[in-house]
Amino acid sequence: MLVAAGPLLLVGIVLTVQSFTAQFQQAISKQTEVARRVVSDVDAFFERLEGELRIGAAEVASRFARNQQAAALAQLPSYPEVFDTLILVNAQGQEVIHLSRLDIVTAADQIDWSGREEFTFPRTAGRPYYGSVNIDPDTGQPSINISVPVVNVYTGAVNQVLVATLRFKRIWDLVAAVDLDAGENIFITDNQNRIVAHLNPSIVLQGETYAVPSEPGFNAGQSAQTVVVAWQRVNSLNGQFQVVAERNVINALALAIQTAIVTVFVLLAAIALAAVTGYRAAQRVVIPIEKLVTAAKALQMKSEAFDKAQLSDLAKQDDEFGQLGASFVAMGQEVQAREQNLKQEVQELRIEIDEVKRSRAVQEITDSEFFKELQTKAMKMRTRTKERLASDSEGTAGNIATGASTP
Amino acid sequence: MAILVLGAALLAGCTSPNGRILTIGVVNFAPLLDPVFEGFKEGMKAFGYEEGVNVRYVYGGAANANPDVLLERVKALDTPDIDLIFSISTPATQRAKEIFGERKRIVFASVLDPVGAKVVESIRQPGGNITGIRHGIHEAKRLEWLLRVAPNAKRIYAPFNPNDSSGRAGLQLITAAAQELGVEIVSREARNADELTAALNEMPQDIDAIFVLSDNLIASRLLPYQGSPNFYDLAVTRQIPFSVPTTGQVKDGGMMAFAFDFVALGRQSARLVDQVLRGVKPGNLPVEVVEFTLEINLQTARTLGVNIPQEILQQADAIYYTPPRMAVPAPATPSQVPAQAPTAAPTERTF
Repeated sequence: MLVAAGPLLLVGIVLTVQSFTAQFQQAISKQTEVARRVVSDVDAFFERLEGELRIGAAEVASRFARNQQAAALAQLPSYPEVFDTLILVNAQGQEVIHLSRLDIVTAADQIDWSGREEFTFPRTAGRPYYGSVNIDPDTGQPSINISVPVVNVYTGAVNQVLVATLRFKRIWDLVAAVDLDAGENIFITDNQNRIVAHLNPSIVLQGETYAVPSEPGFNAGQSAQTVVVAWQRVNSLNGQFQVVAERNVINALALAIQTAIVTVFVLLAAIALAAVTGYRAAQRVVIPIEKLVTAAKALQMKSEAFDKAQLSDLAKQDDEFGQLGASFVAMGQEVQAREQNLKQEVQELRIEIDEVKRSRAVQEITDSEFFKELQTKAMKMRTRTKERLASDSEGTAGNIATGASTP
Repeated sequence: MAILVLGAALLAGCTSPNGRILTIGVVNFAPLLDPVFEGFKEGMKAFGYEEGVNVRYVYGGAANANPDVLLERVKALDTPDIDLIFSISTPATQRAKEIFGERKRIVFASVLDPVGAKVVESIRQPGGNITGIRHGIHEAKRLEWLLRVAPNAKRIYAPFNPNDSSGRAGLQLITAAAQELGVEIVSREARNADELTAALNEMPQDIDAIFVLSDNLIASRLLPYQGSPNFYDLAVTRQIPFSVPTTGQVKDGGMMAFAFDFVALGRQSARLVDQVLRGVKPGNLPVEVVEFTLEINLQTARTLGVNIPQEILQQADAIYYTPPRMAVPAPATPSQVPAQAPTAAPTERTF
């Protein structure tokens, strides 16, 4: 049975391992692709925002009146949906325009930007500044500051800086819009491993973190389940974000699991088949031979021990074993009969021998001098006895007539 | 390694929810908030909770802003078969928390300030057995939007019910903002329907705009279908702009609102409820905030003779071209049925 199932088992293991390996690679590729797609969307989104801010900065630079500048900023397509605030900071780091999505802005809300990187970097470098993610300590809502220089169209100098606070709602929507398969999950982490966008906003608000593994593969997922995980870095905003795509291992390796299950079933079926076949073979070959061996041993030991009934089933078979069994039964019976005859003959011979021996012994005795002497003595004794009896009988007859008794 | 991982994963996937139909008790303070429940049911359906199939709702209807009725409705839900309480409005949530404490899981919606109302310990870590969606209060910003539409307005009329905490809070905020914005709030108390009627009939002549506060009594006379006199008719008569407290009312004929959508709020709540029903402890789920949007009814603005600047239209999240909903007439005999249906079919355009 082992010989029969062994190769199958080996083939099954090889197939299963190959299937797992192939699907594992496929799952990683799939998750990488999902992450790449989201990265593409997120990059496009950030690039569009940066473009809008640059346009806003250019519009501001081309207008002199504050209300016109404010109107230009308010008309940015992503305000107020994406930009929580838009702040124009003058060369001294003081706010000159402050637009807020949810609140009216008073003088008390305005802050001094002169010492902050959001102002100093674009002012000195003439390039956009991308801040780190800020998490609101009260609400858990993430946001990020992006600032662009406002270049004077006449002098080319950076006179002002436009600071925008970007909220993540729109990025959450981007993540939520991804078409995912069963067991898939996608989220974005920042360079401090904080989850800043997730299908489930509660995860973000709870302040959950996830350390991205160094290599894609099996890993504990964000929800602590074992997953196949892959990730891609977002190019925008100094590459501080990573899109992580993961899929529950059960779903990711579903095909391989199916293959393994099928292989196990095939193996079990093969083993069962081998067992049945072996049993049938034993019944057809081994068992008849065993019966013949037993019968032969019995016959060898003692012909009476041979029981033809033990081979009757075998002898009825219409195959070679049946013929062999029938022949063996016939042979056994013949042996038994011959042995019986022999025993009978031996018995008879033994009786004859005994009678001859006895006659010979008697003759030896009778032929011996002693016996003859005894015979002679016996004859003499008998003669004397007869004579005495004869004489005694005559006397007795007279006694009877006289009434005398014999002592 | 793969096999080990697979075995572990298979073991982890063995748990399955029981097949019992879930029962959610719903309690709502004001009829105005009924769309929240509608949105909630929509959201639940999207998460796979089909009413009558795997979930049932026990809802005795809104408490008509009556605290006694509200208490009765909450107590009626104190039965063992209720798996979760969905409470709509601050009073309903407060009563639910008082009655159930931590005995039942509570998810709330439309609570202005859950920390201030002592419903949760903090926004990020609510604690206890409760979480939900807050809507915050941005009445000052709504006033600013109204003034951007009517930049010349100086006197803003804002009747309020002193017995309603939302109305009082809103009035405080807009009064403070008015100073910053250089306008004056003309307020008038209205404790009941009669006083409100008087407030509407006796609105001063020099009012430039109307600010309808988020107040159950005040909002009950917003539009023509809610009875007469009402703010819509008053605004049309005076040809002045008016701002309404909810976005749903803009679709029904309100001129503009910077507010949240009740239906969207309900849908958002469903996501939290889904998590709670899947075993997440409510106290560990941060309170979320509902999204505020700027919505404008251009048809109403035109009726009022208000010209909405293009830059504001560009910033609006939704623009409607719908006439106001009209009052539903009493059942009429066939001969009395008017030639035209009282409720005009809205032509909606959203972008």
